[in-house]
Amino acid sequence: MAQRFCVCVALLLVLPTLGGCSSLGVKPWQKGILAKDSMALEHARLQSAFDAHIYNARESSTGGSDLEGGGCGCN
Amino acid sequence: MKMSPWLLAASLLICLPSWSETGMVGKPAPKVPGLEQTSGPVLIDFWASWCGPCQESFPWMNQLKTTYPELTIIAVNLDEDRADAQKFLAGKNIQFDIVYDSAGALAEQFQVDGMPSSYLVNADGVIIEQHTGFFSDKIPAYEASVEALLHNEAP
Repeated sequence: MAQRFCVCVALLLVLPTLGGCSSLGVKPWQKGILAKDSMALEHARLQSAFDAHIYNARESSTGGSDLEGGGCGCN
Repeated sequence: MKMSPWLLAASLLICLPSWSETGMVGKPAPKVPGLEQTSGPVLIDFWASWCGPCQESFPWMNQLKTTYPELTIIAVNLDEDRADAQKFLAGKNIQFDIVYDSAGALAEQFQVDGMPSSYLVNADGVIIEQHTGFFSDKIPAYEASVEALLHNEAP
């Protein structure tokens, strides 16, 4: 009984921390710098999609960048 | 494991405040420069020059002001550098008031949770509607709520 009580109290103490980080971080109106073109991870979306297409076409037979082999570890 | 009803109730109670945080509807609008001079309905829009949907909403807000001259529109700019906003506004024939809030103090009071955010305020100063984002396919709905507000305000 005492153990169950302790578990309940511990859970109650932990629950409020679930949303604890939601108020941190960048506010919607502070994203001006992030919205700049120079901050984009890829500067040419079309070029990136084209590269990815070629890469997948060439590598798909060997499983691409993922480990899709049969598990023998031989490829 | 069976969850204790007390625990369930407690977790619900803890989650409730985070739900109510998102809504400003029904609350009195915080003080905005220019708002106290008007007695009629107001549309408050939070925008920034770097935000695409905000830019899209400008021609619509201009047109809204032309269609409904009795509606006061206050566009609160949230650019950290006011010059960016002025560069965006240059050459545009803006029909409504622009208020600058580079520190985001007003945005904080209005609990802005996305860009752009708009608030419809009635003559009693109470927020009756809140929108996040600007979607061109929702324009008829936006206009319907403005019209409803204006008709309700009419003596």
